[in-house]
Amino acid sequence: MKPVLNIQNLTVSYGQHVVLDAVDLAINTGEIVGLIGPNGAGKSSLIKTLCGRIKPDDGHMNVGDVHLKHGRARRHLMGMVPQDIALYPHMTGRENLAAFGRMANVTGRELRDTIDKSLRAVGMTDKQNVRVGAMSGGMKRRINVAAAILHAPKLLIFDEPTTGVDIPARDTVHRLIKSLAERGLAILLVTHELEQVESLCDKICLLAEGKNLISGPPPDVLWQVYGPSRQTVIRLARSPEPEFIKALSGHGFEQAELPTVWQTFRNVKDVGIISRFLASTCTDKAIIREVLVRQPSLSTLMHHVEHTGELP
Amino acid sequence: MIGSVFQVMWLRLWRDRGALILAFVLPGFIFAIFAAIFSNASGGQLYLRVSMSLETDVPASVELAKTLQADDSLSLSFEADWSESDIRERVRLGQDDVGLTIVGDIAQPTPPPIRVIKDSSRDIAVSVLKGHIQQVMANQAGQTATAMFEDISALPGAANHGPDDRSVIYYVGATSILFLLFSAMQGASLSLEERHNSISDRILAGPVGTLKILGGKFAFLTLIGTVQAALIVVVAWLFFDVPVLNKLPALGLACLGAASLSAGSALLVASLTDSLAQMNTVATFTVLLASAMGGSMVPRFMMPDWLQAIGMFTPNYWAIEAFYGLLARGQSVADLLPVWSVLFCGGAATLILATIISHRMMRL
Repeated sequence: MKPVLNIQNLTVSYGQHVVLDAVDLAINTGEIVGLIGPNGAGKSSLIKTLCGRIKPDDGHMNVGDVHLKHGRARRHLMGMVPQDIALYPHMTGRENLAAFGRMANVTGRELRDTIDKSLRAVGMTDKQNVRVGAMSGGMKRRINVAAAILHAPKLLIFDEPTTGVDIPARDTVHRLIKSLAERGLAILLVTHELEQVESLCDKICLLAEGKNLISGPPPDVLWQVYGPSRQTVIRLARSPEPEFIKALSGHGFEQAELPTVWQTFRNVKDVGIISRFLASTCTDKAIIREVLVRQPSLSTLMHHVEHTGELP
Repeated sequence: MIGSVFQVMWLRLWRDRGALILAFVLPGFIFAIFAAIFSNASGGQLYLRVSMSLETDVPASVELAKTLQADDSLSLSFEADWSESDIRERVRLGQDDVGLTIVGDIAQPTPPPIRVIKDSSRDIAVSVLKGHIQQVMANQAGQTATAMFEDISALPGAANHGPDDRSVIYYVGATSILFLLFSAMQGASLSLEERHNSISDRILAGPVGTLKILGGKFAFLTLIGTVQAALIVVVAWLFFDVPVLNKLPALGLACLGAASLSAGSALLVASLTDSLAQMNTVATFTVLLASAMGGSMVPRFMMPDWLQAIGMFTPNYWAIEAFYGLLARGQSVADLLPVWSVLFCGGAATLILATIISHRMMRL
């Protein structure tokens, strides 16, 4: 099956600074792909390049059968849901959709039908004549999405759609994303919320310092990086003494995000290390608040990449 | 597409009652106040541009002409073959603030030997010039010359209108452009709102380009500005007896031209600023400065030469020239071709510049 979005070897630089270095990415119909990475990884540059706001130095980027060079035509096939509520607050939901529809060259009866269809898709038919300024957060998010699908794009880009959003509005957005993918849209989800990525996305693309470090379905990515390893985490009640640190290090633990959090990655068969450590070495049992043995998550992976810029 | 942008801006204006009042009620009101105050402006030492003709060979009068020519405190233009009609034309076209024709012996007060050719919107220049001549004559020969002057208007149809009417005419253009600029700046701030809440991102992710977006805004702001300027013309006609009915098409052109340049300038300011707060500050500063230098607050002849030269780079100068040329100097549309060129080409140029800058900023 031919991907809706097919990016190959995309390279973008600002002067001497390379912000995207030979990035590859493909999204198929009905697929949700999460674009993740630390700040400055190149996510925004990739979106801007997709939207035609940055000219790439090299590479191929096709949306459907339309090549990167045909900016206008390509953008007909894309919709964008910005992080902010990109709507005119003094206009009703329907008036907003009509305005954005005309700006996307949809007019007349086709526009009316498209607006109705978009409103139905986001479940806002009964609230279409409420001014956006008077809508709840969830309603605004829905209209925000409806405005992006007016021209029936093949690819829909969500740029941090739930950042700073309350839980009901976030759930609304999640349901919408799922529902739109089920309708056949290819979806690129740019986010920092990794739980959202694990639960929603069919694939991820992890960027760091402009490079695509790894991509694929989240479980495959984690298996590729960590294999059968389990993450063992010890949370301490207080910062440990040097002697205790020496003992932790001797058992392969390294400090995680805080001085009171230590972790090690061992094969699932080797988790007995914890009981051996606790039994033989750790004499001050009161210092241990919590011991966890778990599969590494995308958060674990991201934490590592944020600090090192590389895969573990 | 342009219609859609137009609709967005129209609803924004229509649903903001404060902005609506500001746009359509306040201009006429403020114009009336400005006109009432400034039409009686007077006093002060001015560096005047004066043109002079000498139509007598009486030695005392020739001597006075030479003394005035040598006087550094006047910018005096003099050609030996100029007649009174040449002087009238120069004053009518605003090339000089006031004119002077010496027609007889200054030692004989009757008939008046000195004719002062004036533009009634610059009465203060007449008073200053008379005072200056009296002083020169007193220094020269101990003469006083209070009764030696005859005032002649350089403007057509002056017999039907007193001096105050001419000052009112001046402020038709002066007030219109001031309000058009403020109003356009307010309207253009929508661009900043769009940029701030990512509406620009959404629009530009679609098939539409920056020129069309700004073109829609330009069309809306120009139309609203034209209506605002027309309202001021109506107030001038209804309450100040300014004769406008025989020049409606030309005045429409002046309103449109002034609105076009205001709209382009406002979009340019919006494209150069990053936030609403910044835009408000820059817009207020720019409009007040342009209005002060361009003659919207104080007539430009009361300013020093260098400031008058700078004033030519403001929209205010050209808008005032358009309205005053039509209403006071009796110039035709063809006579004012350079003015129309600046107003309309300036509007188009500022729109294109705003588009280029916005396009580049959106790529950052």
